[in-house]
Amino acid sequence: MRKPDPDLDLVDRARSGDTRAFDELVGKYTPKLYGLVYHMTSNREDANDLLQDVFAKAYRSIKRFQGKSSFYTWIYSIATNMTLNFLKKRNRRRTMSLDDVDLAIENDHDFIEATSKSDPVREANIAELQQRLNMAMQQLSVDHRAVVTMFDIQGMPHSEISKILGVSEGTVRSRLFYAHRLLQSHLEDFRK
Amino acid sequence: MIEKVQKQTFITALFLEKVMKDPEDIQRLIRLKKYETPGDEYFQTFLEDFKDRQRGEMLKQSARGLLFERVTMWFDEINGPRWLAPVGATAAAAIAFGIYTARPANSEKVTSVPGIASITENRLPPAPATAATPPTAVDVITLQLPRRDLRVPGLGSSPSERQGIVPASARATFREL
Repeated sequence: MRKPDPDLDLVDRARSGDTRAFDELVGKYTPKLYGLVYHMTSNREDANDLLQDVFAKAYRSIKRFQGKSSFYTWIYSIATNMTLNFLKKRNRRRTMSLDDVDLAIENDHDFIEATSKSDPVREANIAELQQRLNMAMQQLSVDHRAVVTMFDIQGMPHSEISKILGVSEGTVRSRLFYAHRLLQSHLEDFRK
Repeated sequence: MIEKVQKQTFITALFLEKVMKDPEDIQRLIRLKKYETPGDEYFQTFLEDFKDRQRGEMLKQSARGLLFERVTMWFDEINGPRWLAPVGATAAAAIAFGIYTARPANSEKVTSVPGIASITENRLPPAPATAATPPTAVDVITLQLPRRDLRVPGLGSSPSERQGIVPASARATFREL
């Protein structure tokens, strides 16, 4: 049995023309959608422009939303498709324009565990590490980057990713496996 | 400065060598990207920026662009056949064009084109000169509508149209177009 959409009331009001209801939806989902677009593009200016276009399109199309999926899945699909189209149309790779790293990273369990294996722990330059990780991500194809962003960075389950991308869960798993291998290979090249 | 950068690069490389022994380590590293964030202020002002941009976009759109968009949305809402939307929009644009070209106070000669009203210019003999008024030539413009089958659909054929004037009531519904 499917869980009821937590945004049902807001969506119904937005469909009736209540702009404040739509504003609430924008406020609620901007962080998550920004994360998706930013990690795919590694460029905060592009992420901002794309996000504006995503919400503009969602606003124009909200009357056509039939409620077959949750509103979140629906708008997340719009953001994913628009970002994939944007990246595929863009022929040459743009320079990266990265957001700052939140200092909260130093309290992250994964970061602490990773850095505890290294002797020069605090000397590892977070900014440079960030640069290398983003460069490695940009080496991936857009389809591989999408699954890594959704699964590894945003913590989405395979089932949700498969619905959004319109592929089977098996395809999601195999893309992830291949993407992780590629990332390891790109980062190893850096280590040499 | 260069030495400092090289040292940092070397240290980062060492760090990666130590942390990437396990295949799951790469996932742990990538997961750390979630800490890249524009900050709370960005998200707090995003909505206002979004509304400002939408207002700017609407102002930029021309009246004709808005008409076209509304026509297509109207067809979408009535769930009509998709091909009607551009047909209706084209007809609406043709009406706007017809109104524009039928404006008076244009005495230039226009070459006759099928489907478009032809304008001919006739010169009347000058009015007899009087002591008060000097003689002037008066231009009279007559409009001849093309054949009925070449006219823009939906305009009908009222007497006023035979003189080239489109009456204000000559608006048809989209269905009739």
